[in-house]
Amino acid sequence: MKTFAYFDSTHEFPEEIIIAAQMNPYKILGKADFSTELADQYIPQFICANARSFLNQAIEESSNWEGIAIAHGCDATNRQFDIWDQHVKTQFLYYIHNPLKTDEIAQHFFIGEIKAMILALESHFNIKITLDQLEKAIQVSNQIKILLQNLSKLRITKDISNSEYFDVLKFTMQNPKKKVLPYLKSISIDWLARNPFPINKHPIFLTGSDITHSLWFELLEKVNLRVVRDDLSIGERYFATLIPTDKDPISNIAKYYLNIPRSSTKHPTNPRIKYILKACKKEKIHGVISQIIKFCETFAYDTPFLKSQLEVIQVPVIHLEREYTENIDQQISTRLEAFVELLEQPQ
Amino acid sequence: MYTVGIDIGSLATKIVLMKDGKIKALLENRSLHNFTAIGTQLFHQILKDNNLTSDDIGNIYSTGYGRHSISKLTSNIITEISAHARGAQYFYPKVQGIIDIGGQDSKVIKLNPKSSTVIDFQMNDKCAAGTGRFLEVMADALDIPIENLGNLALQSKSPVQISSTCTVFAESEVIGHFAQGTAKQDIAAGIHNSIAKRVASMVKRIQIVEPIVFCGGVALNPAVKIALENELKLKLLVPKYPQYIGAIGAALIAKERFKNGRV
Repeated sequence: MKTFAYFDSTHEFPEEIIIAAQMNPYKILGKADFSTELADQYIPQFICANARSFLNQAIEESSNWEGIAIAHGCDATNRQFDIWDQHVKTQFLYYIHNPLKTDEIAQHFFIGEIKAMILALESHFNIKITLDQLEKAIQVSNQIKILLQNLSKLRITKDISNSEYFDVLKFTMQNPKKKVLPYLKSISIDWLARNPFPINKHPIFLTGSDITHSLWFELLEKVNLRVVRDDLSIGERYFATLIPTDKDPISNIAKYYLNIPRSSTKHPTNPRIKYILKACKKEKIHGVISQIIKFCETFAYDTPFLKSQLEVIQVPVIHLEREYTENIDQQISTRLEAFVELLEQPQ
Repeated sequence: MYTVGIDIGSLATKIVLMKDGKIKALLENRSLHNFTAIGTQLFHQILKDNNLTSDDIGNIYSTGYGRHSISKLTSNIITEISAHARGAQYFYPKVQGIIDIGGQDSKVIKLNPKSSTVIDFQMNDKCAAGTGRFLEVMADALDIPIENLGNLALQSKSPVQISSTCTVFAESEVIGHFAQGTAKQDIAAGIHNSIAKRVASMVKRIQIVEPIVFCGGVALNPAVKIALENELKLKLLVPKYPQYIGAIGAALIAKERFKNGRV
């Protein structure tokens, strides 16, 4: 199956179009070695390292992909399309606008964007993407989301490590969906048979910038912090809601992407905070880890509001700024250990 | 019962021997990038100085940047945050906030006034500005011993502005002031105001209130205390042995967590 890559800074790209086009939608997440050197020639190092790592991977691997789409994400990465256009070798590079708001006008606009992308794909690849194919793609997408929802629930009751959860999500976003479905079913059997949630671990909610490597999840695990809920794109944002099926498939796709758990890059902030608070109350979360990758300021701006709201429901929160590195950061490690000590203090 | 607290900091290692919660002996040395060796050496030294053997010690806790490096010696570890909170309470039981400026990092800790537990904390980012290392680099730039930096700053009547919050750029700024013929004491005072501004931003972020304990090796420098007090418009309490607060806290926690064996 041919691979079509996409870059979105959260979960904005309507991958169902690519599934309908009989290609594998591959989410670009950077290479395993954290390399950014090639991209650093074109993007200054004070810009988000995730974005630089995505460009780095594209410069190196774009020949393996049929084409690339970039979805409108955070404002820091939007204009990077021009850099990709200049320096990434590909036959098909496309920019799809994903609106900041969620109202009717925004939805109408996004429907137009989806239709325009379908036309561009049909024209370039000489294919036809039918409404029937789009409906089938929605079905596949929803099957995957349901399986992921069920797996995610097991994090609360079973011994599922942070990095195992991350690896499942990463696999899902980078592999052909026909391969993903049996994979998720086999993981379900494995996870259902796991031991109960370990008593020495603290159930936490993880929020903030997207985490693209398992190393950070391992660091949390090492200090006995177990992520049982999150609102990350390589996480619950990808599967928390299902694509509606009540209207025509294009309208349904548009509606879905404008109503997923919100990122800080979208307006307004309240729905994001509400999602976190609701999860904290429902799952008896011990604490919230709010982290950003260096220079991901959109999430940093939300931090004081998030902190004040969590104080109301008496859930401790720690805010951390992390580097994009394969090395364990001792200062972050100390802060996490101190946060665990804070959680373990007699009340 | 004897307990020991060892605070292995990035620049200095401090060890405290306590008996039934009272300080018996204190020792410190440069960490010299060999945390295991210096921690072990100080432990044996403090035992020898007090005619004790390791069997006499009920519990040993380590803290600080190198806390994991002497796991063969200690029964457990505790982070600097918890250790400083406990250590500050030893001298000032009603303390509600702590400012600790060490060699490599600075911390602000907020305590619950009722339960005395830690409710929030801030640490500096991966950056030397606002730490003891910043003062060391600046003392080098001024070509004076670090011990004299604080007293020199106190002689100033017209402190300069050090606008940069980065140690490397601040050093360039200091050299620039030198080139303009600015008096050393005015530059030194500007350096202290700069560190105070940096730490004050962390204090304001979590809004600690008095009584506030100022500890860590940098608390030995009177000019930093004054600069911080001026910046925050608050009074700071500097305990006896401010650089030992982490080690004292670790030794106290070692005592409190000792039950029927080392925990």
